[in-house]
Amino acid sequence: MEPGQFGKITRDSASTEFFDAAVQGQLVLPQCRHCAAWQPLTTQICTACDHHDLIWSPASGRGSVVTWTIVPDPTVEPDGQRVMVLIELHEGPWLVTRLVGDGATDVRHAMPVTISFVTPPGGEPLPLAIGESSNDQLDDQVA
Amino acid sequence: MDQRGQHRRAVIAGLGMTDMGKIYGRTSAQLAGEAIRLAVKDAGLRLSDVDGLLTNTGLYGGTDMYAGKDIGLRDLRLQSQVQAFGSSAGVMVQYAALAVESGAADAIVCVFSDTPLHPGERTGASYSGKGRVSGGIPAIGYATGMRGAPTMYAMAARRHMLTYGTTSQQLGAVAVAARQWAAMNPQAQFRQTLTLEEHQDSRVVADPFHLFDCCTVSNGGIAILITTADRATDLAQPSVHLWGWGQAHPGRLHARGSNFGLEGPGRESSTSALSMAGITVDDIDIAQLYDCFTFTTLLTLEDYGFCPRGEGGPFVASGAIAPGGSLPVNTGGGQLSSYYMWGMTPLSEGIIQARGHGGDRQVAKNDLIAVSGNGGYMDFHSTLVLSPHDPKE
Repeated sequence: MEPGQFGKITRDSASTEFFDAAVQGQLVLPQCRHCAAWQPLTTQICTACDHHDLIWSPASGRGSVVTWTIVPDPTVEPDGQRVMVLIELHEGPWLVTRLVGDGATDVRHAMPVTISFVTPPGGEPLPLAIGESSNDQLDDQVA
Repeated sequence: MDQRGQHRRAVIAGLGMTDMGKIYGRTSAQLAGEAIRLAVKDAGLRLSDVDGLLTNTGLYGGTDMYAGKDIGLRDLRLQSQVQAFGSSAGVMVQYAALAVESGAADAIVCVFSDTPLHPGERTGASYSGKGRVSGGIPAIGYATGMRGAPTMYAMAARRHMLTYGTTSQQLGAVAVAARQWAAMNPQAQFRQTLTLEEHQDSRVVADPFHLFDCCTVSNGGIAILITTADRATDLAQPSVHLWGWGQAHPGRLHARGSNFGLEGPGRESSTSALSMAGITVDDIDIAQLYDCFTFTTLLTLEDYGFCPRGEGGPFVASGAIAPGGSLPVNTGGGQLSSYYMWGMTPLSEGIIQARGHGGDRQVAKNDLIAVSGNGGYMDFHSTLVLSPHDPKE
Protein backbone atom coordinates (compact mmCIF):
# COMPACT_ATOMS: atom_id res chain seq x y z
CA MET A 1 0.00 0.00 0.00
CA GLU A 2 1.40 3.39 -0.94
CA PRO A 3 1.78 5.64 2.09
CA GLY A 4 -0.51 8.29 0.67
CA GLN A 5 -3.38 5.93 0.07
CA PHE A 6 -5.87 5.02 2.73
CA GLY A 7 -5.79 1.55 4.22
CA LYS A 8 -8.52 -1.04 4.25
CA ILE A 9 -9.88 -1.80 7.67
CA THR A 10 -11.93 -4.88 8.42
CA ARG A 11 -14.51 -4.58 11.16
CA ASP A 12 -14.42 -6.70 14.30
CA SER A 13 -16.97 -7.49 17.00
CA ALA A 14 -16.15 -4.31 18.89
CA SER A 15 -16.64 -2.00 15.92
CA THR A 16 -19.76 -3.28 14.15
CA GLU A 17 -22.01 -0.44 15.25
CA PHE A 18 -19.31 2.17 14.70
CA PHE A 19 -18.86 1.16 11.07
CA ASP A 20 -22.61 0.63 10.49
CA ALA A 21 -23.11 4.26 11.49
CA ALA A 22 -20.07 5.35 9.49
CA VAL A 23 -21.57 3.81 6.35
CA GLN A 24 -24.46 6.22 6.92
CA GLY A 25 -22.00 9.08 7.35
CA GLN A 26 -22.70 9.32 11.08
CA LEU A 27 -20.01 9.44 13.74
CA VAL A 28 -20.98 7.53 16.87
CA LEU A 29 -19.06 7.46 20.12
CA PRO A 30 -19.38 5.26 23.20
CA GLN A 31 -21.58 6.81 25.86
CA CYS A 32 -22.33 5.52 29.33
CA ARG A 33 -25.97 4.46 29.68
CA HIS A 34 -25.75 5.10 33.43
CA CYS A 35 -24.21 8.58 33.66
CA ALA A 36 -24.20 9.77 30.01
CA ALA A 37 -20.42 10.46 30.01
CA TRP A 38 -18.74 10.13 26.60
CA GLN A 39 -15.94 7.58 26.37
CA PRO A 40 -12.73 7.10 24.40
CA LEU A 41 -13.37 5.00 21.31
CA THR A 42 -11.91 1.70 22.54
CA THR A 43 -12.88 1.68 26.18
CA GLN A 44 -14.99 -1.14 27.61
CA ILE A 45 -16.12 0.56 30.81
CA CYS A 46 -17.25 4.04 31.75
CA THR A 47 -14.25 6.12 32.74
CA ALA A 48 -16.43 8.33 34.94
CA CYS A 49 -18.59 5.91 36.91
CA ASP A 50 -17.11 2.44 36.30
CA HIS A 51 -20.35 0.98 34.98
CA HIS A 52 -19.97 -1.55 32.20
CA ASP A 53 -22.91 -0.44 30.07
CA LEU A 54 -21.93 1.61 27.06
CA ILE A 55 -23.97 2.47 24.01
CA TRP A 56 -22.83 3.89 20.69
CA SER A 57 -24.49 7.31 20.44
CA PRO A 58 -24.61 9.85 17.60
CA ALA A 59 -21.95 12.54 18.02
CA SER A 60 -21.66 15.99 16.53
CA GLY A 61 -18.73 15.16 14.29
CA ARG A 62 -17.05 18.40 15.34
CA GLY A 63 -13.74 18.80 17.06
CA SER A 64 -10.53 20.77 17.20
CA VAL A 65 -6.85 20.10 16.64
CA VAL A 66 -4.78 19.30 19.73
CA THR A 67 -1.54 18.61 17.89
CA TRP A 68 -0.31 17.54 14.49
CA THR A 69 2.58 16.47 12.32
CA ILE A 70 3.22 17.06 8.63
CA VAL A 71 4.90 14.13 6.91
CA PRO A 72 6.62 14.61 3.54
CA ASP A 73 4.91 12.07 1.27
CA PRO A 74 5.21 12.39 -2.51
CA THR A 75 2.18 10.15 -3.03
CA VAL A 76 -0.19 12.66 -1.40
CA GLU A 77 -1.91 15.15 -3.71
CA PRO A 78 -1.52 17.98 -4.36
CA ASP A 79 1.65 19.06 -2.62
CA GLY A 80 3.24 15.92 -1.23
CA GLN A 81 2.48 16.54 2.43
CA ARG A 82 0.45 14.24 4.62
CA VAL A 83 -1.08 16.11 7.55
CA MET A 84 -1.83 13.89 10.53
CA VAL A 85 -3.77 15.39 13.39
CA LEU A 86 -4.76 14.47 16.90
CA ILE A 87 -8.31 15.75 17.26
CA GLU A 88 -10.28 16.41 20.41
CA LEU A 89 -13.85 15.74 19.49
CA HIS A 90 -16.45 18.11 20.91
CA GLU A 91 -17.68 15.37 23.26
CA GLY A 92 -14.16 14.78 24.63
CA PRO A 93 -12.70 11.63 23.05
CA TRP A 94 -9.54 11.90 20.96
CA LEU A 95 -8.99 10.63 17.44
CA VAL A 96 -5.85 10.39 15.33
CA THR A 97 -6.57 10.81 11.65
CA ARG A 98 -5.56 12.68 8.51
CA LEU A 99 -6.50 16.30 7.90
CA VAL A 100 -7.61 16.74 4.32
CA GLY A 101 -9.11 19.45 2.16
CA ASP A 102 -7.74 22.82 1.19
CA GLY A 103 -5.83 24.60 3.89
CA ALA A 104 -4.76 21.35 5.54
CA THR A 105 -1.10 22.34 5.53
CA ASP A 106 -2.07 25.52 7.40
CA VAL A 107 -3.02 23.33 10.35
CA ARG A 108 -2.75 25.06 13.70
CA HIS A 109 -3.55 24.40 17.32
CA ALA A 110 -7.29 24.60 18.11
CA MET A 111 -8.24 24.63 14.41
CA PRO A 112 -11.92 23.61 14.23
CA VAL A 113 -12.56 20.47 12.18
CA THR A 114 -15.42 18.24 11.19
CA ILE A 115 -15.33 14.50 10.62
CA SER A 116 -16.24 13.15 7.21
CA PHE A 117 -16.08 9.55 6.10
CA VAL A 118 -14.34 8.19 3.02
CA THR A 119 -14.43 4.53 2.03
CA PRO A 120 -11.49 2.83 0.32
CA PRO A 121 -12.74 0.10 -2.06
CA GLY A 122 -13.13 -3.10 -0.09
CA GLY A 123 -12.67 -1.44 3.28
CA GLU A 124 -14.71 0.19 6.02
CA PRO A 125 -15.39 3.94 6.05
CA LEU A 126 -12.57 6.01 7.55
CA PRO A 127 -13.22 9.14 9.61
CA LEU A 128 -11.12 11.97 8.19
CA ALA A 129 -10.88 15.52 9.44
CA ILE A 130 -11.62 18.61 7.36
CA GLY A 131 -10.90 22.14 8.52
CA GLU A 132 -14.18 24.01 9.02
CA SER A 133 -12.95 26.77 6.80
CA SER A 134 -12.18 24.32 4.00
CA ASN A 135 -14.36 24.58 0.93
CA ASP A 136 -13.75 20.99 -0.09
CA GLN A 137 -16.46 18.38 -0.12
CA LEU A 138 -15.00 14.92 0.12
CA ASP A 139 -15.95 12.28 -2.39
CA ASP A 140 -17.16 9.33 -0.37
CA GLN A 141 -15.30 6.87 -2.54
CA VAL A 142 -11.58 7.31 -2.96
CA ALA A 143 -9.06 5.15 -4.73
CA MET B 1 18.16 -21.03 55.54
CA ASP B 2 15.61 -18.46 54.41
CA GLN B 3 15.21 -18.75 50.63
CA ARG B 4 14.32 -15.10 50.31
CA GLY B 5 17.09 -13.82 52.51
CA GLN B 6 19.83 -11.39 51.79
CA HIS B 7 22.11 -14.08 50.42
CA ARG B 8 19.85 -14.54 47.40
CA ARG B 9 19.82 -10.87 46.42
CA ALA B 10 20.01 -10.63 42.64
CA VAL B 11 22.81 -9.00 40.67
CA ILE B 12 23.69 -8.69 36.99
CA ALA B 13 26.66 -10.97 36.39
CA GLY B 14 26.84 -11.35 32.61
CA LEU B 15 26.42 -9.23 29.48
CA GLY B 16 26.55 -10.50 25.90
CA MET B 17 26.23 -8.37 22.78
CA THR B 18 26.34 -9.58 19.19
CA ASP B 19 27.51 -7.37 16.35
CA MET B 20 24.69 -4.89 15.78
CA GLY B 21 23.45 -2.89 12.82
CA LYS B 22 23.27 -4.16 9.26
CA ILE B 23 23.89 -7.71 10.34
CA TYR B 24 22.37 -10.07 7.80
CA GLY B 25 22.25 -13.80 7.37
CA ARG B 26 21.20 -14.66 10.89
CA THR B 27 17.72 -15.09 12.30
CA SER B 28 16.46 -13.40 15.42
CA ALA B 29 16.68 -16.74 17.25
CA GLN B 30 20.28 -17.23 16.12
CA LEU B 31 21.18 -13.74 17.32
CA ALA B 32 19.50 -14.47 20.64
CA GLY B 33 21.49 -17.70 20.94
CA GLU B 34 24.74 -15.93 20.21
CA ALA B 35 23.98 -13.16 22.71
CA ILE B 36 23.15 -15.73 25.38
CA ARG B 37 26.34 -17.69 24.78
CA LEU B 38 28.31 -14.43 25.01
CA ALA B 39 26.58 -13.45 28.26
CA VAL B 40 27.19 -16.85 29.82
CA LYS B 41 30.86 -16.75 28.79
CA ASP B 42 31.13 -13.17 30.06
CA ALA B 43 29.92 -14.33 33.45
CA GLY B 44 32.34 -17.23 33.50
CA LEU B 45 29.54 -19.79 33.54
CA ARG B 46 28.45 -22.57 31.20
CA LEU B 47 25.23 -22.79 29.22
CA SER B 48 24.18 -25.69 31.44
CA ASP B 49 24.27 -23.35 34.45
CA VAL B 50 21.36 -21.34 33.03
CA ASP B 51 18.05 -22.43 34.50
CA GLY B 52 15.83 -19.51 33.52
CA LEU B 53 15.07 -17.73 30.24
CA LEU B 54 13.10 -14.56 29.51
CA THR B 55 12.89 -13.42 25.90
CA ASN B 56 11.71 -10.17 24.38
CA THR B 57 11.31 -10.67 20.68
CA GLY B 58 11.15 -7.12 19.39
CA LEU B 59 8.99 -6.13 16.48
CA TYR B 60 9.29 -9.23 14.36
CA GLY B 61 8.80 -11.90 17.02
CA GLY B 62 11.42 -14.31 15.80
CA THR B 63 12.38 -15.89 19.12
CA ASP B 64 9.56 -17.90 20.61
CA MET B 65 9.25 -20.41 23.46
CA TYR B 66 10.74 -23.20 21.33
CA ALA B 67 13.89 -21.23 20.62
CA GLY B 68 15.29 -22.08 24.05
CA LYS B 69 15.93 -25.72 23.18
CA ASP B 70 17.63 -24.77 19.91
CA ILE B 71 19.84 -22.33 21.75
CA GLY B 72 20.94 -25.24 23.94
CA LEU B 73 19.05 -24.54 27.14
CA ARG B 74 17.71 -27.58 28.96
CA ASP B 75 15.73 -28.24 32.12
CA LEU B 76 14.71 -24.65 32.63
CA ARG B 77 12.86 -23.92 35.85
CA LEU B 78 11.54 -20.64 34.48
CA GLN B 79 10.78 -19.49 30.96
CA SER B 80 8.51 -17.06 29.21
CA GLN B 81 8.28 -14.42 26.55
CA VAL B 82 7.95 -10.88 27.84
CA GLN B 83 6.42 -8.16 25.77
CA ALA B 84 6.23 -4.74 27.37
CA PHE B 85 7.58 -3.04 24.25
CA GLY B 86 10.36 -0.61 25.04
CA SER B 87 9.99 -1.14 28.76
CA SER B 88 10.70 -4.86 28.35
CA ALA B 89 14.38 -4.92 29.28
CA GLY B 90 13.77 -3.31 32.66
CA VAL B 91 10.69 -5.47 33.15
CA MET B 92 12.63 -8.68 32.38
CA VAL B 93 15.35 -7.71 34.86
CA GLN B 94 12.75 -7.08 37.56
CA TYR B 95 11.04 -10.42 37.06
CA ALA B 96 14.38 -12.25 36.86
CA ALA B 97 15.55 -10.58 40.07
CA LEU B 98 12.33 -11.47 41.87
CA ALA B 99 12.59 -15.07 40.63
CA VAL B 100 16.20 -15.45 41.74
CA GLU B 101 15.46 -13.91 45.11
CA SER B 102 12.53 -16.27 45.64
CA GLY B 103 14.62 -19.31 44.86
CA ALA B 104 12.62 -20.20 41.75
CA ALA B 105 15.79 -20.19 39.66
CA ASP B 106 19.49 -19.52 40.13
CA ALA B 107 20.80 -18.11 36.84
CA ILE B 108 18.36 -16.39 34.53
CA VAL B 109 19.14 -15.02 31.09
CA CYS B 110 17.13 -12.09 29.73
CA VAL B 111 17.55 -11.61 25.99
CA PHE B 112 16.39 -9.20 23.29
CA SER B 113 17.00 -9.84 19.62
CA ASP B 114 15.41 -8.58 16.43
CA THR B 115 15.93 -8.44 12.70
CA PRO B 116 14.02 -5.38 11.51
CA LEU B 117 16.54 -4.66 8.74
CA HIS B 118 16.34 -6.64 5.53
CA PRO B 119 18.82 -6.33 2.69
CA GLY B 120 17.57 -3.95 0.03
CA GLU B 121 14.90 -2.34 2.20
CA ARG B 122 15.05 1.24 3.39
CA THR B 123 15.90 1.51 7.06
CA GLY B 124 12.78 3.55 7.68
CA ALA B 125 10.58 0.80 6.27
CA SER B 126 11.23 -1.38 9.29
CA TYR B 127 9.33 0.69 11.80
CA SER B 128 6.67 2.03 9.44
CA GLY B 129 3.86 0.21 11.18
CA LYS B 130 4.13 -3.30 9.82
CA GLY B 131 2.74 -5.89 12.14
CA ARG B 132 0.30 -3.56 13.86
CA VAL B 133 -3.43 -4.26 14.05
CA SER B 134 -5.33 -4.27 10.79
CA GLY B 135 -8.89 -4.45 12.07
CA GLY B 136 -11.40 -2.49 14.03
CA ILE B 137 -11.15 0.95 15.55
CA PRO B 138 -7.47 0.63 16.59
CA ALA B 139 -6.59 0.41 12.89
CA ILE B 140 -8.04 3.82 12.04
CA GLY B 141 -4.84 5.70 12.80
CA TYR B 142 -2.70 3.47 10.60
CA ALA B 143 -5.28 3.34 7.80
CA THR B 144 -5.56 7.12 7.64
CA GLY B 145 -1.80 7.64 7.58
CA MET B 146 -0.33 7.26 11.07
CA ARG B 147 2.56 5.07 9.91
CA GLY B 148 4.60 4.09 12.89
CA ALA B 149 6.27 5.67 15.83
CA PRO B 150 7.70 8.87 14.28
CA THR B 151 4.21 10.21 13.54
CA MET B 152 2.90 9.83 17.08
CA TYR B 153 6.09 10.94 18.80
CA ALA B 154 6.26 13.96 16.49
CA MET B 155 2.74 14.91 17.55
CA ALA B 156 3.78 14.51 21.17
CA ALA B 157 6.80 16.74 20.63
CA ARG B 158 4.66 19.34 18.87
CA ARG B 159 2.32 19.46 21.85
CA HIS B 160 5.28 19.97 24.19
CA MET B 161 6.50 22.78 21.92
CA LEU B 162 3.07 24.42 21.90
CA THR B 163 2.84 24.26 25.67
CA TYR B 164 6.40 24.97 26.82
CA GLY B 165 8.09 26.64 23.87
CA THR B 166 10.49 23.75 23.30
CA THR B 167 12.35 24.18 19.99
CA SER B 168 13.73 21.94 17.27
CA GLN B 169 17.21 23.25 18.08
CA GLN B 170 16.81 22.02 21.64
CA LEU B 171 15.87 18.57 20.35
CA GLY B 172 18.95 18.83 18.15
CA ALA B 173 21.10 19.36 21.23
CA VAL B 174 20.06 15.88 22.38
CA ALA B 175 21.19 14.38 19.08
CA VAL B 176 24.49 16.27 19.11
CA ALA B 177 25.27 15.14 22.66
CA ALA B 178 24.44 11.50 21.91
CA ARG B 179 26.82 11.58 18.97
CA GLN B 180 29.58 13.05 21.10
CA TRP B 181 29.30 10.11 23.46
CA ALA B 182 29.06 7.64 20.55
CA ALA B 183 32.34 8.95 19.17
CA MET B 184 34.02 7.30 22.16
CA ASN B 185 32.15 3.97 21.80
CA PRO B 186 33.75 1.40 19.46
CA GLN B 187 30.43 -0.46 19.25
CA ALA B 188 28.39 2.54 18.13
CA GLN B 189 26.93 2.48 14.61
CA PHE B 190 27.37 6.23 14.15
CA ARG B 191 30.50 7.86 15.52
CA GLN B 192 31.20 10.81 13.25
CA THR B 193 30.56 14.27 14.68
CA LEU B 194 27.07 15.67 14.26
CA THR B 195 26.64 19.45 14.40
CA LEU B 196 23.44 21.24 15.24
CA GLU B 197 23.45 22.70 11.74
CA GLU B 198 23.61 19.20 10.24
CA HIS B 199 20.72 18.17 12.46
CA GLN B 200 18.65 21.13 11.30
CA ASP B 201 19.55 20.57 7.64
CA SER B 202 18.71 16.86 7.70
CA ARG B 203 15.47 15.90 5.97
CA VAL B 204 12.18 16.19 7.80
CA VAL B 205 10.79 12.77 8.67
CA ALA B 206 7.64 13.95 10.44
CA ASP B 207 7.56 17.59 11.43
CA PRO B 208 9.12 18.64 13.82
CA PHE B 209 11.40 15.60 13.61
CA HIS B 210 14.40 15.65 11.34
CA LEU B 211 16.30 12.49 10.43
CA PHE B 212 18.66 12.92 13.38
CA ASP B 213 15.80 13.18 15.84
CA CYS B 214 15.11 9.50 15.20
CA CYS B 215 17.04 6.53 16.52
CA THR B 216 18.89 4.08 14.37
CA VAL B 217 17.53 0.64 13.49
CA SER B 218 19.61 -2.46 14.17
CA ASN B 219 19.69 -6.20 13.75
CA GLY B 220 21.35 -7.91 16.65
CA GLY B 221 20.92 -9.31 20.11
CA ILE B 222 21.83 -8.49 23.70
CA ALA B 223 21.54 -10.82 26.67
CA ILE B 224 22.19 -10.34 30.36
CA LEU B 225 22.55 -12.93 33.08
CA ILE B 226 21.18 -12.50 36.57
CA THR B 227 22.17 -14.61 39.52
CA THR B 228 22.63 -14.29 43.27
CA ALA B 229 25.11 -11.83 44.74
CA ASP B 230 26.84 -14.64 46.61
CA ARG B 231 27.40 -16.71 43.50
CA ALA B 232 28.44 -13.70 41.47
CA THR B 233 31.34 -12.87 43.77
CA ASP B 234 33.08 -15.97 42.39
CA LEU B 235 32.34 -15.15 38.76
CA ALA B 236 34.27 -13.34 36.05
CA GLN B 237 32.92 -9.79 36.14
CA PRO B 238 32.34 -7.12 38.81
CA SER B 239 28.75 -7.53 39.94
CA VAL B 240 26.28 -4.87 38.95
CA HIS B 241 23.92 -4.42 41.85
CA LEU B 242 20.24 -3.61 41.59
CA TRP B 243 19.42 -0.94 44.12
CA GLY B 244 15.88 -0.40 42.94
CA TRP B 245 13.33 -0.98 40.23
CA GLY B 246 9.93 0.27 39.20
CA GLN B 247 7.34 0.29 36.45
CA ALA B 248 4.48 2.58 35.44
CA HIS B 249 1.74 1.93 32.92
CA PRO B 250 -0.79 4.71 33.37
CA GLY B 251 -3.43 3.51 30.90
CA ARG B 252 -3.71 7.05 29.70
CA LEU B 253 -7.17 7.86 28.31
CA HIS B 254 -7.22 8.96 24.70
CA ALA B 255 -9.47 11.90 25.51
CA ARG B 256 -9.76 15.44 26.89
CA GLY B 257 -7.48 15.89 29.89
CA SER B 258 -4.78 13.55 28.59
CA ASN B 259 -1.20 14.54 29.35
CA PHE B 260 0.10 12.95 26.13
CA GLY B 261 3.27 14.75 25.09
CA LEU B 262 3.42 16.79 28.27
CA GLU B 263 4.18 14.16 30.89
CA GLY B 264 5.18 10.52 30.66
CA PRO B 265 4.99 7.61 33.09
CA GLY B 266 8.66 8.08 33.94
CA ARG B 267 7.62 10.16 36.94
CA GLU B 268 5.82 7.33 38.71
CA SER B 269 8.25 4.63 37.54
CA SER B 270 11.35 6.48 38.71
CA THR B 271 9.70 7.39 42.00
CA SER B 272 9.16 3.68 42.71
CA ALA B 273 12.73 2.77 41.80
CA LEU B 274 14.38 5.64 43.67
CA SER B 275 12.26 4.98 46.73
CA MET B 276 13.24 1.30 46.73
CA ALA B 277 16.86 2.36 46.41
CA GLY B 278 16.50 4.81 49.28
CA ILE B 279 17.83 7.71 47.19
CA THR B 280 16.61 10.79 45.35
CA VAL B 281 17.10 11.82 41.74
CA ASP B 282 19.86 14.16 42.89
CA ASP B 283 21.90 11.11 43.89
CA ILE B 284 21.95 9.75 40.33
CA ASP B 285 25.35 10.13 38.68
CA ILE B 286 24.59 8.83 35.20
CA ALA B 287 21.31 8.43 33.29
CA GLN B 288 20.88 5.83 30.57
CA LEU B 289 17.60 6.83 28.98
CA TYR B 290 15.55 5.14 26.28
CA ASP B 291 15.97 7.58 23.37
CA CYS B 292 13.97 6.28 20.43
CA PHE B 293 13.61 9.98 19.61
CA THR B 294 15.39 13.06 20.92
CA PHE B 295 12.06 14.09 22.41
CA THR B 296 11.88 10.91 24.47
CA THR B 297 15.13 11.83 26.21
CA LEU B 298 13.87 15.33 26.89
CA LEU B 299 10.54 14.21 28.34
CA THR B 300 12.18 11.53 30.48
CA LEU B 301 14.61 14.07 31.93
CA GLU B 302 11.60 16.13 33.03
CA ASP B 303 9.68 13.08 34.26
CA TYR B 304 12.56 11.86 36.41
CA GLY B 305 13.08 15.31 37.89
CA PHE B 306 16.53 15.95 36.46
CA CYS B 307 15.11 19.32 35.45
CA PRO B 308 11.80 21.09 36.11
CA ARG B 309 8.69 20.22 34.13
CA GLY B 310 8.68 22.02 30.80
CA GLU B 311 12.34 23.03 31.04
CA GLY B 312 13.86 20.02 29.31
CA GLY B 313 14.66 22.15 26.28
CA PRO B 314 16.89 24.71 28.00
CA PHE B 315 18.39 21.94 30.13
CA VAL B 316 19.63 19.88 27.20
CA ALA B 317 20.64 22.99 25.25
CA SER B 318 22.91 23.97 28.13
CA GLY B 319 25.23 21.03 27.41
CA ALA B 320 24.40 19.36 30.71
CA ILE B 321 23.96 15.92 29.15
CA ALA B 322 26.99 16.00 26.84
CA PRO B 323 30.51 14.84 27.71
CA GLY B 324 31.82 17.19 30.39
CA GLY B 325 28.32 18.19 31.48
CA SER B 326 26.74 17.94 34.90
CA LEU B 327 24.60 14.87 34.05
CA PRO B 328 26.12 12.29 31.69
CA VAL B 329 23.25 10.87 29.63
CA ASN B 330 23.46 7.94 27.21
CA THR B 331 27.18 7.64 27.52
CA GLY B 332 27.45 5.07 24.72
CA GLY B 333 25.56 7.18 22.21
CA GLY B 334 22.08 5.91 22.99
CA GLN B 335 19.66 4.53 20.48
CA LEU B 336 20.15 7.71 18.52
CA SER B 337 23.77 6.95 17.67
CA SER B 338 24.95 3.57 18.99
CA TYR B 339 22.46 0.74 18.42
CA TYR B 340 18.71 0.09 18.77
CA MET B 341 18.15 -2.96 20.87
CA TRP B 342 15.08 -1.48 22.57
CA GLY B 343 15.65 -1.22 26.32
CA MET B 344 18.83 -3.29 26.15
CA THR B 345 20.56 -0.24 24.70
CA PRO B 346 20.44 1.92 27.82
CA LEU B 347 20.71 -1.15 30.07
CA SER B 348 23.85 -2.48 28.39
CA GLU B 349 25.57 0.89 28.68
CA GLY B 350 24.47 1.16 32.30
CA ILE B 351 26.10 -2.21 33.01
CA ILE B 352 29.29 -1.23 31.18
CA GLN B 353 29.57 2.03 33.12
CA ALA B 354 28.79 0.35 36.45
CA ARG B 355 31.55 -2.19 35.81
CA GLY B 356 34.03 0.56 34.96
CA HIS B 357 34.44 -0.84 31.44
CA GLY B 358 33.54 2.31 29.51
CA GLY B 359 37.07 2.94 28.24
CA ASP B 360 37.41 6.43 26.75
CA ARG B 361 33.84 7.23 27.72
CA GLN B 362 33.96 5.89 31.28
CA VAL B 363 32.40 8.34 33.71
CA ALA B 364 34.52 8.52 36.85
CA LYS B 365 31.63 8.93 39.27
CA ASN B 366 29.50 5.89 38.53
CA ASP B 367 28.05 5.04 41.93
CA LEU B 368 24.36 5.28 40.98
CA ILE B 369 23.05 4.82 37.45
CA ALA B 370 19.43 5.20 36.38
CA VAL B 371 18.21 3.16 33.41
CA SER B 372 14.89 3.91 31.74
CA GLY B 373 12.72 1.83 29.44
CA ASN B 374 9.97 3.49 27.40
CA GLY B 375 7.35 1.60 25.41
CA GLY B 376 4.45 2.35 23.12
CA TYR B 377 3.87 6.06 22.73
CA MET B 378 5.20 6.87 26.19
CA ASP B 379 2.58 4.43 27.51
CA PHE B 380 4.78 1.88 29.30
CA HIS B 381 7.80 2.59 31.48
CA SER B 382 10.38 0.74 33.55
CA THR B 383 13.20 2.06 35.72
CA LEU B 384 16.26 0.38 37.21
CA VAL B 385 18.84 1.82 39.57
CA LEU B 386 22.22 0.12 39.09
CA SER B 387 25.41 0.42 41.12
CA PRO B 388 28.85 -1.15 41.37
CA HIS B 389 28.29 -1.18 45.13
CA ASP B 390 26.43 -3.64 47.29
CA PRO B 391 23.47 -1.72 48.76
CA LYS B 392 24.02 -3.27 52.15
CA GLU B 393 27.53 -1.88 52.49
